[in-house]
Amino acid sequence: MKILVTAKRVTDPDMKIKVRSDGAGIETSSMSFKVNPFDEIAIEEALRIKEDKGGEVIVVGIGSDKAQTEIRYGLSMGADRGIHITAGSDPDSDAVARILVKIVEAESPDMVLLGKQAIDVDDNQVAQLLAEYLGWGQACFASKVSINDNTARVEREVDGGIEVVDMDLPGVISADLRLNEPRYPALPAIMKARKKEIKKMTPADLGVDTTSKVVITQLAEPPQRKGGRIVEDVAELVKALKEEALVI
Amino acid sequence: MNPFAMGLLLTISLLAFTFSVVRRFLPLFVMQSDIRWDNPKERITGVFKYFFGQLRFLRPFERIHGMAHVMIFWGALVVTLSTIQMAGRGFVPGWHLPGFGDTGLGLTYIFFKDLFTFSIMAGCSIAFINRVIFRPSRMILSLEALIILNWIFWMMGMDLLYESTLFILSPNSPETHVAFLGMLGKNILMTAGLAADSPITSQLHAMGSWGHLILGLSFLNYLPYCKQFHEVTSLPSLYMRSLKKKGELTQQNLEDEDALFGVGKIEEFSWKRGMDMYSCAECGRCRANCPAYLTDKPLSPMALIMDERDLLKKKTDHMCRAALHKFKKEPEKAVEVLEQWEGDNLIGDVISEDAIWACTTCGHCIANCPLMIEHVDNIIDMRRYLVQMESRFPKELTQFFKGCENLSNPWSLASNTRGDWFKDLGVQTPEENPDFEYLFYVGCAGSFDDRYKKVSTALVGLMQQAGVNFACLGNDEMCCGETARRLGNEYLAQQMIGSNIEQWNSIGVKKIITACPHCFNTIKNEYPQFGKHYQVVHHTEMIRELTRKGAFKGAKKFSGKGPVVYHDSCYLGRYNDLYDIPRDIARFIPGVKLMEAERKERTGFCCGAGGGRMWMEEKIGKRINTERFEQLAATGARTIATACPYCMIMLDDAMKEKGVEEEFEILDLAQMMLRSIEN
Repeated sequence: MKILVTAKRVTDPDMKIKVRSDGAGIETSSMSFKVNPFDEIAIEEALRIKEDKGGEVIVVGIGSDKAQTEIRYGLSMGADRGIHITAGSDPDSDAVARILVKIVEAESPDMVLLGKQAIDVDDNQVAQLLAEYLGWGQACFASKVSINDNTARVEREVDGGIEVVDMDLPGVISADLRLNEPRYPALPAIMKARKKEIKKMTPADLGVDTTSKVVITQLAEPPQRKGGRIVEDVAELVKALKEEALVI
Repeated sequence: MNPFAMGLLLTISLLAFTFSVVRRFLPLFVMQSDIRWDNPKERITGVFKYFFGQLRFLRPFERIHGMAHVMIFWGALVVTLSTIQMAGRGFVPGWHLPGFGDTGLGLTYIFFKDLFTFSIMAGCSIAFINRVIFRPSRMILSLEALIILNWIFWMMGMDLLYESTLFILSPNSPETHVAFLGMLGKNILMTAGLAADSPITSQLHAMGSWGHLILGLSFLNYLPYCKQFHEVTSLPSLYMRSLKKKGELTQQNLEDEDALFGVGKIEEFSWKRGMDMYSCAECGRCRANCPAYLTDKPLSPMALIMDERDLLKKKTDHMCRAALHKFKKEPEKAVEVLEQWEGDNLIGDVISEDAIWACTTCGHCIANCPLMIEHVDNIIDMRRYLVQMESRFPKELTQFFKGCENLSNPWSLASNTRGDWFKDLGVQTPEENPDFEYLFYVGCAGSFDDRYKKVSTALVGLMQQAGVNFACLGNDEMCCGETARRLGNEYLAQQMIGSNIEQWNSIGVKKIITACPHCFNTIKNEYPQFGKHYQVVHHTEMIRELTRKGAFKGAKKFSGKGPVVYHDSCYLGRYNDLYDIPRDIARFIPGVKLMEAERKERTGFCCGAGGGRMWMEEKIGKRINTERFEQLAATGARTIATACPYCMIMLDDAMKEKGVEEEFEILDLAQMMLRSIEN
């Protein structure tokens, strides 16, 4: 089974985000980055399938030169090789999906497994767009995946329960939080990963125009939270709810 | 004595002994290399201190049992000469060592021989009674130990019988003037009716000498099969003891891809660890104060070494064969033989993973082992294997490792808020104050933990008051890597250490103050492995120095909840010998009544957080911090003074769990000092 997985470089979700003074982006100096946690889960799942069924896991990353770190992380987890599409800034979801289409055409994997969304912009679109462009089946928000010959049985997290779908392969699966707990790479794997191949390409090489369809015009920090206070009596509470909270 | 019989006895027993010893030592040759013969001067000094000097037995808390060992040990050194003489007399009647005999030296020796025969017999009796009747908790009541004590006792008894009957047979021997014990024996035997012309006397005399020799030589052959093998290994073991600093773990070479990044099989330990396994005499001094053992965790440092030794013994055949292949330059065959082993695995079957993770690295075991076995390093070897080779560890540690990797702090808190605590304190960064004298390296707890941020703040207050020229890195500061290293993640630790050194070099750091004994220890004792020596000062050292210079003359009466007890941090105390300095600060503060816990200083009891335990769940046995809190509370103190973030957090948690935060108060010495100034 040949599986294509993604590894997006995102701002560490535990970092404190500061909006740039021009409002068009966030401060990236002294910011920590890591592989998108949902992608990490997708990589882990692909590796488990590979360990069970054999095959190959290819990690794709799109972004600046630094995005290689995250591809390398996927390789140290155990993926076989990497593809790095160099791009100055992060392309929008649609461009990413079109880039992945080209890679799928070149690699013809049995499955594309990716995080349900990147935790930086939270768009949650790539898996769906990709399946549409490829004309493949899609099973998004997977919390369990089992492979049976040419089909995949996927348990999807839906509101208030689990939906079980059978999907023909090749297909697109996006990973949800509870799919697995990603491994911590062991040292020999980290060393091996240093020597694994990462093929570099540009969107132009693939004939993809990455001009954004979605342009971020303004980012703003959420209003500062004020500390709570303890009111003296009910009358004061009612007054505060009416005048300050404006809820009654 | 019959020369033929004597020759036969000596030949057989010495050959058998040699065979046993070779079988014990051959396996060490397939174990990993370790240079333990550098710096001979220091090694010899150590041999005099710890082998001949028996320093680790002569401690005040040792009392009787340690003295018993010294009596037996020194006795054995002296009496062995007499045994050699006795064997020689099997061939040449009346033979003695050159220079001995009826000379001054010979007769002096006889006096001391009698003295030490008495000392051995008394020592054995004390040890026997202690083991059987008083049963100190550190010891196990093993049949083997009792057999050994009896064996030695009766071996000496036979020697005494030989000497006593000799004096009946030759009453004019000059030795009779010095051999007080032999004379006492003679008098008793003669009172009992034994005469010089009685055949029984000659028979008893022969029985004494043959008995002594047969017991001695059979004992020699028993050694390699029992804990008493330390008689053979202790001298080389102590000579080849570790000379690294106490607070230092060995540096792994992570560049060599074929190297082992930890120990998963018994033969992957260094040969010295193997020798230490043979050396362990099961005395239990290591576990007498082991926080894991005393709170019912599945770890006992003594059992750890004993179990490893048993595995080593079981694997002897394989390892001997592998060693022979290795000598014949057939490394592939050696590997093949070792791979044929189908018995127990080191990790899992012999040493449980729970035991490996239970260690707080408090260092009590190492500090008290008379044979200087390195239990903590032994455990770290296996942790390194589990983490680096197998990526197998308690799952709470995933967040720890990832937090250190991505955010350079174990809490996984935003690294760009690391310096927030000093926003309003007027603290300068190296950019703002490039001529800083000291870098105040705050550490993760001092930057992120609410309780310890107060300590950082107090220390800043004291330093500002005293006019110390310092700077803090703020958001640019990174974790020191201490805990990652003790959790076996050498790779991560080395990355962190490398980043810190690079950063500090770029801003010209020379002197560092830290309020965390873990940062302190690792920067002071481990960073030099990476080529960088900094002058590192723990904040208690700084405060005491400032106190001496009169910086805090305005200190007024300390207002606390009651008497104060200082809790020793392992990494400050046992690892860096800072026992008095923190206490000096407490004594300096007016109105402080300083109490001492029973387990203090060298035998201080760990808070339970070291070695990464802080970041793991403690599900087995009693909680270590609760145990320690109870010990401290039992002194009658109401203020617990600490000098370490881990200790403070652990004891604070224990206090809150007991719901006694109204009665007790846990303060760092810096906070106490500041409070008494601000009063």
